[in-house]
Amino acid sequence: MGEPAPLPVIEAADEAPLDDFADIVRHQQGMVFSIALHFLRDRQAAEEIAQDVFLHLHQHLDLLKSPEHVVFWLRKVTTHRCIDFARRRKWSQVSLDDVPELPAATATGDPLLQRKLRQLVASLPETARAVVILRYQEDLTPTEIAEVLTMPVATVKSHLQRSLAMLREKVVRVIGDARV
Amino acid sequence: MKELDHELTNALRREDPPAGFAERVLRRVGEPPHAEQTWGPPLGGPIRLKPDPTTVKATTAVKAPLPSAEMSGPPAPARLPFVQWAAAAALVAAMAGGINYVAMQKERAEGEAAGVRVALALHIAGNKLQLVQTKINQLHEQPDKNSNQ
Repeated sequence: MGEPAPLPVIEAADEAPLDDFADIVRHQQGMVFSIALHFLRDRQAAEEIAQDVFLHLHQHLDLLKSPEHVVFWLRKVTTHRCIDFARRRKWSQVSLDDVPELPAATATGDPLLQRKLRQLVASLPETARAVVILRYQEDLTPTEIAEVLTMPVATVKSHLQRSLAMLREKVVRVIGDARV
Repeated sequence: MKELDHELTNALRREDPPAGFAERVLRRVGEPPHAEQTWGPPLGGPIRLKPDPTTVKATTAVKAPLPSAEMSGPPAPARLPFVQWAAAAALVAAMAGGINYVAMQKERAEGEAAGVRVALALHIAGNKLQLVQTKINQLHEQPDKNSNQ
């Protein structure tokens, strides 16, 4: 699931029937849902955002010229909606310790460490969180992240460096440095 | 560093959405846009659906600008009246408090002025009484002097 699934080819801007849209939803639902899920750590909110993103895509499908453009658009819109959503609900933010842990989706690695990492990533500031998720979930380069988030590459790199330093420090403090 | 990268990649790997997600999306695409008139979409701008999404192609979709980083808030229409009412109530309370404060200040100033006037009146009256007392004492002393002579 790590690599983006291939998209059905959209022949032209005016040749995008609902079947193609349904294929896009089925191929890209994991990406959109996972960005929202890792960002918000709330399955219900993540599904709601993912649905809205796809509904929005349905309106703008004629403006998107290629499968790559569709994927770029989905990442951009999902990320920005997550940032907006997180900022709006900040006032009612609950402690991360109160958030139910997501079901373990990994069969490899250290589950305890990965659980803690997901908690720590969710505690990052919104923009830094988006950078980390796009870097490690979507495997994007800083340049690609900068395009998605509409910010300078240097800012993306700065967010990444600071976030990784913070994550490393907290993980070492909580779990120990044997595994990082 | 590589180990942390690896663990982050594992921790943030993609997950499948709940079962039936795609079907729910396609069902919402086919729903009439009545929700827009009452609440608007849960997130983002208004959703305008095509009349018959099974036959109409994407070119018929309503043209709207691509979403920007600044997206309008979703539950805002539902929360806004409460916020407005709360702001209005706070404003009214502040105004009432201000008016009450000004009235109390005015009353206190009037009381203090009245107190000053009473004190002045008592001071004047005391002086007058003192003067009268002095005159009476002088009158009492003069007959005594006259009788001695």
